[in-house]
Amino acid sequence: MASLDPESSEQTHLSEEELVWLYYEEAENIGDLSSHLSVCGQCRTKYEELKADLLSIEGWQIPERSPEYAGNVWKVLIQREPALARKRKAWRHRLSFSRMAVAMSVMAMVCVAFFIGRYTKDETESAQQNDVRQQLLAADLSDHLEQSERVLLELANSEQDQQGVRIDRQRVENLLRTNRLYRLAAGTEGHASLAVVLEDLERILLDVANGPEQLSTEQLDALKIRMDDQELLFKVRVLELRLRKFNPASEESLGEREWKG
Amino acid sequence: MEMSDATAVALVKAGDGDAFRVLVERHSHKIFRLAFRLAGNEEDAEDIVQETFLRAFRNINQFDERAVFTSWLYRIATNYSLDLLRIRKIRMTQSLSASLEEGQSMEDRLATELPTPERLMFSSQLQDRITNAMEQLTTQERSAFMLRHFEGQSIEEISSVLKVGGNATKHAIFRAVQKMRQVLQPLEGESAWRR
Repeated sequence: MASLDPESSEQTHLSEEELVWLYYEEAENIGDLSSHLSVCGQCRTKYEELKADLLSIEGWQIPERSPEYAGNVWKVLIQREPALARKRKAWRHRLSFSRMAVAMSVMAMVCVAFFIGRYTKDETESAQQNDVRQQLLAADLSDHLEQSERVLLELANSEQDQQGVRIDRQRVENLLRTNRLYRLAAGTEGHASLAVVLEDLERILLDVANGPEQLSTEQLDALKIRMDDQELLFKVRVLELRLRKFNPASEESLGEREWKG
Repeated sequence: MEMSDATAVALVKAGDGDAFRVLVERHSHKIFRLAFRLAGNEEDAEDIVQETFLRAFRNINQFDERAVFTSWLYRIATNYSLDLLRIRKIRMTQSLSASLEEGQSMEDRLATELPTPERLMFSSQLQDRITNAMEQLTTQERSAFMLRHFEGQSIEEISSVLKVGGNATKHAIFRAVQKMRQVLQPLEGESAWRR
């Protein structure tokens, strides 16, 4: 490492390596090196020479490809990989009864586990206070899920041939904030499965909230596919219905009924 | 509005192979430029472009959607280029050995295949000069230098692609700069003399 003090009686200069890392802004002590350059003419000259050499490399020309190049690459790729030409089936036709049944049973288990967990955890408090708290929580969360479900339904039912779908972003942003709180609470309470569903919901809400007010057909398709793959609409719907029926006093019977399917 | 990379990737992951076309149309020119710089010739660059997109499509489920698609694509292209360059090097060595066995001297062979200061001195094309300078670099030096100089990747990113440590990456870049300057400097002297 060079002595960076130009006034030093034993002044040395910056090495070629230091100059290179200064040029690429990878030096650990850029400030010191720059200061030295500003007062040392010899190093400044060397640095200018290095810059000139490296800039001359910019003149290396790459053979131009025609505007049709990408299309030609695509044609070759299709020949080599036929799966590339495959189109996806319409979103709505992919929902099968078996998948719905799986989604519903999973959500029923998640819902019951969450509320049984909450209930037993607070058993030291008075039963009455706890009942009220649980019912309020269930009502709040089910309201939130119902509103979220409406947004998901609007997205899911919008027609593919429309020019786009207008979204009330303010409403989605509000849902997003609320959802985040519920998701954090579920995670803190150790209800990982519920937190996962809320996280899936949050990602969709986040994309919609951060997206344009008018979603294009392509953006809409991508959202539908994600919702579809995650069974999100059904999970949210089932969770909401279970919460509406939730009654702390009959918590045990609810659990029995759900577990028996 | 144009479909984003993330949307296209989500569609491809969901089984819509046709959505991959958006990614090919958007990135094939960039990948070609990277490939040409790494491989040094159009034929190999074309091969790298095709192979990069095929590998990306076949491994699309391994792509983490939180990452940047172009970075992932660049990584695939660079890795494939490295493999290709290594194979080329092995073949070149084998070819050289064969020539020696046939009686051609090492000096004769090198004189026809490697750039000499004289050849460089009289070259009127900057393109040729730089191409010759590039040929002085090892595969690792060339890749590291290209990714830093032309693609602006960080030392960390390049280390990850080349699967070497940060110091080794920095050393490779520095050696590349040194070698290129050595080749280019006589030309600068010549151009100054001509002025």
